[in-house]
Amino acid sequence: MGKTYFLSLLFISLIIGFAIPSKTFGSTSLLAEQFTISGYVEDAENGEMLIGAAIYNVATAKGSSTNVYGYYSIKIAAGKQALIVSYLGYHSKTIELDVKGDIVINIKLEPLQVSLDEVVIKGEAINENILRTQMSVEKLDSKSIRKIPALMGEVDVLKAIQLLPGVQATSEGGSGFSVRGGSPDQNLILLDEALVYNPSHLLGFFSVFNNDAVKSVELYKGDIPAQYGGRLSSVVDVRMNDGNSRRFSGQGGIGTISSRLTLEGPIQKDKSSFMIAGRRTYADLFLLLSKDEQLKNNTLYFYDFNGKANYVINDKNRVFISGYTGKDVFKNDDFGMGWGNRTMTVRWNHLFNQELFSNFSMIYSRFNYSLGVPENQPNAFEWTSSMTDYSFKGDFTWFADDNSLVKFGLIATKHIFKPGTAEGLSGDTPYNKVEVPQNQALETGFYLSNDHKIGSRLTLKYGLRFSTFSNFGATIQYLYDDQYVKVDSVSYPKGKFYNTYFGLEPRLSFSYILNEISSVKGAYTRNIQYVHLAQNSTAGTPLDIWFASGPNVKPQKGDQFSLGYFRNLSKLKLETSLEGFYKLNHNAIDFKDHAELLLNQYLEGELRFGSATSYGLEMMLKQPDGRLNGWISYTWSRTFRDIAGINAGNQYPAGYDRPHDVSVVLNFEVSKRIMVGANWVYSTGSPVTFPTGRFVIGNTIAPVYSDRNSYRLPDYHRLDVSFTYSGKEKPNKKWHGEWNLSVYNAYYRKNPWVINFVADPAQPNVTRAEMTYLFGIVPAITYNFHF
Amino acid sequence: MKRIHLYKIISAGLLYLVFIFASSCTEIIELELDSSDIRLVVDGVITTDTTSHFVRITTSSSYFLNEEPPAVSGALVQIQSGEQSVTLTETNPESGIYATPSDFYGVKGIQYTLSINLAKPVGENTDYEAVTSMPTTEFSIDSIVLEYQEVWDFYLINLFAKDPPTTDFYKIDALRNGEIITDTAYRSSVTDDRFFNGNNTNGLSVMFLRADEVNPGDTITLVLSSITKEYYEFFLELQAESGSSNPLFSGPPANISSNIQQGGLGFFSAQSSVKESLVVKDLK
Repeated sequence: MGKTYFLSLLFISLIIGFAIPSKTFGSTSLLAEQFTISGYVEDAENGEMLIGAAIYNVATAKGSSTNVYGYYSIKIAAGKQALIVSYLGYHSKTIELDVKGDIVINIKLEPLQVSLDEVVIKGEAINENILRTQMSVEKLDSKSIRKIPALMGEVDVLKAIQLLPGVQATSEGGSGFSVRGGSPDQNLILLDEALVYNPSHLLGFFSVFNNDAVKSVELYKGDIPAQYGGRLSSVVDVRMNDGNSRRFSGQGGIGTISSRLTLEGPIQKDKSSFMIAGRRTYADLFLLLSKDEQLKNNTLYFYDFNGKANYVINDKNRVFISGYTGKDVFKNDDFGMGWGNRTMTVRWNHLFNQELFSNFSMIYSRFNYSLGVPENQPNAFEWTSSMTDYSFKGDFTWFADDNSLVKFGLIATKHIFKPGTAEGLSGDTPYNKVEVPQNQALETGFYLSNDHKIGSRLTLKYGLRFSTFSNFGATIQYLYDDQYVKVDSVSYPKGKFYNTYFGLEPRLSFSYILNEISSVKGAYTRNIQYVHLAQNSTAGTPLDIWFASGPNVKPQKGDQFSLGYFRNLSKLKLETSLEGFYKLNHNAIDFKDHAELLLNQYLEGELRFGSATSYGLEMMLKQPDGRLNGWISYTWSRTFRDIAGINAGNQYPAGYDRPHDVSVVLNFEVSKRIMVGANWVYSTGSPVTFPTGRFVIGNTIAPVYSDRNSYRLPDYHRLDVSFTYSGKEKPNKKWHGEWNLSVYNAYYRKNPWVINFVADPAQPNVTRAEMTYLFGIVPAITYNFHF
Repeated sequence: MKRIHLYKIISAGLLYLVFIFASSCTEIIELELDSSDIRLVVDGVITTDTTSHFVRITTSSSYFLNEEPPAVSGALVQIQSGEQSVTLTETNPESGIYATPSDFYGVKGIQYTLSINLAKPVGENTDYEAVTSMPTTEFSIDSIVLEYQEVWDFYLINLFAKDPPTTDFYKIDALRNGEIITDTAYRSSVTDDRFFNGNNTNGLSVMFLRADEVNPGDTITLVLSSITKEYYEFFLELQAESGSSNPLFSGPPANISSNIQQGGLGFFSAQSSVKESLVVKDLK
């Protein structure tokens, strides 16, 4: 209690600290009269707002950057002044101003066209990665994601993220990932602020993000800003394109397994625009060609649809509406299965004044699945499950003065969990209705943070998030004894709040600029996670069940310490970084041996609790642009779990404990029309449990296992290459096409997906080890176009 | 339904995945494995039928032993219920298989204790014990129907029976002309009655037989046994751990539970069975 009291006091003093207008004490204000310059930074060609563009005041050598809506606000002294605006992949722009009062200026940046003869001068060579106060963050835009060779040519946002330091794929070819040793359910994956519960298609092999509809992706691995909450390990913030506000345009592609088309354009020029994007696979169309009647009757596909529209009401108000819907379908006469996500975000950006920016959002997010035997069959049944969220969010950015950037806001989310219902459909069905009780919860978060510049070198970021989580009826809550056996149940009426957790999540960091090419940054953050995924397998199926903290399940808490050194080798324009981290996960959740997670009313009795620890070092060498660009990263990390009742209570390496992890991602522009890309990944084999003995029951040979995860699969490595050939650029030709040939697993490494120990069917008493690998060399060809 | 239907349905989904990722491939590999301690293994079943009941006693071995499991011979094996006790005799010397007298039968609701006294210790123990109870489920089979599935080229055995309102667990086996077909854990199935408690099963498919296992004129017998919750869990675990796993649907490997105390492996089970037979006509 004492600790909570102390933290509350800190929270209050922070608020009081902000309330005192810093202007009266500010040293700069004594020197000259200050005015505010504000506006949006956008792409000159299509009007897309640029997120995180740097605004640099030449006179004071101080910088600021645009927020997630592309808005900036900077204080500047009266008189002749210059601002440099820069953004990766764009020509920097110098704005000269004669400042006599507050100015609103929208800045348009021209995209860079890298070509052979042109020597790229990146403005005044602002070392944005050095100056940025945020650490443990990686940013990818859709252009660079597109260059990475992909499995079956399907460009994939989440698989690009897996190539970053500190991030590992959870299984071969899958889009699930673990950040700094965390579980996949500890990643907060947002699409235009809406939570995406299951970001995968086709049993995890592809992600739900259609890269053509994506503007930018930011991954926070540590130092998670106070405005994000609810997950321990990372935030993946995906922003969709707003839609070209200058002219009608489109892009798309015809690929080996799917086709895509994105259309965008102004509704009223410079006032409103729209974007729609669709993608569908056509594996099932090949099934139709099959002579086999059995295969012909199958339906198997997934689709995605993204839509967004925005409207500039006036200088002070803009509204956006964006949505996503996607579904996987697998169906035949005997069986059907489908799952999908749906999100909807309505946003209103409002400027109270030049300094105070606000955004209000209403968000809907849903993940559901169903499977069963169709109704016309005897013994038809249906099994459904869903997870639905309704959120309201208000975020404020106060560009207080040169030295402080204050962010505050709140979010409230109503969760509706329907873990599973199965029932027979026919009249004389033998099946009872089996229902895991629906339950609800209200989650809220309030945050306040300040980026506080002290002098020209030091920035302190201090923030605090206060979160609450309350379970409410109508539901049935089961109670368990200390052996996890259900002993009682309590029914709560509709709307009755019966259990509340709350917690304080400090988010503290510093950055210190050593010189113009190097800096040191450090952070301590605490995160609390109130909803958890019941998922026992490594690759993940769509049969996800999310469950809430409550009387039997404490929230998971995570503490992370990180420290980093950043340096640019300025002559070479190479960015290097070295980051270390140490993470503690309290109340970590695992599942008992042979846990039954599906359609289990007593799921909470299958849970086991303990702690998890991860630590590691991440190194990265990055060339962000130029003819040869890409990165090389190396991560050394360990992650262990200590769970009562698992592995006889002894510590064991977590499933994602792969100490050595290397990614090499390179792109080379051979000529104006030819580009080659390659990536190579290497990691220590995953820890696995192997048998150390066997015994016989009847005719069945059964294993006796080693300690959990005490063996390792062979090391994983793989090379992917791609070759892109663009059509000739001609003036006045709107249509640009390019062919992309990609080869996954180019040197045919047989990376084990699983090693099974099974009895030899032909010889009694003989057991053997069988290794299954998923992919040989997988070539794919894609035609991409834009107009 | 849970295991019978769902798991196979999901496996069908997996087959489609494999169809898509046609390049996937399985090969046999050589691996070095450590050895764990040798433990006593008990495999014993008593039923309500009046006949000899068998308890097989072996030991565990290294994983790649590739021979019959080492038999544990010369043990004193007894089954007690209340005041009564029977001694089992080893059927053949060195076989490790011990039999009750042929007039032995189990009674519903009675608790049985298996006690084993070894001639030589295994895993530092010479005395092992297991306790189980004969389930009390009252049930019978009305009829069974054989259905040919053309699409998949296999037969389904559909069951018509009424499940009592109690919480029950069943094991399902099949015989052809009196010979067991479900001779491995994978072929048998076990189920709880969560999905059909108290209902008529209404022709629920409970077993599949490969087309080459069924010929016109054969007598097919379905054996429905009532089992304990502990044995049901043991059998599910045995199925899961002896078969193939995959990262999509399988949880982490874990040791199979046992009711043999003092660190033994395996299970001593009591179960009551009912049978129903049919003669195969030409169904195709």
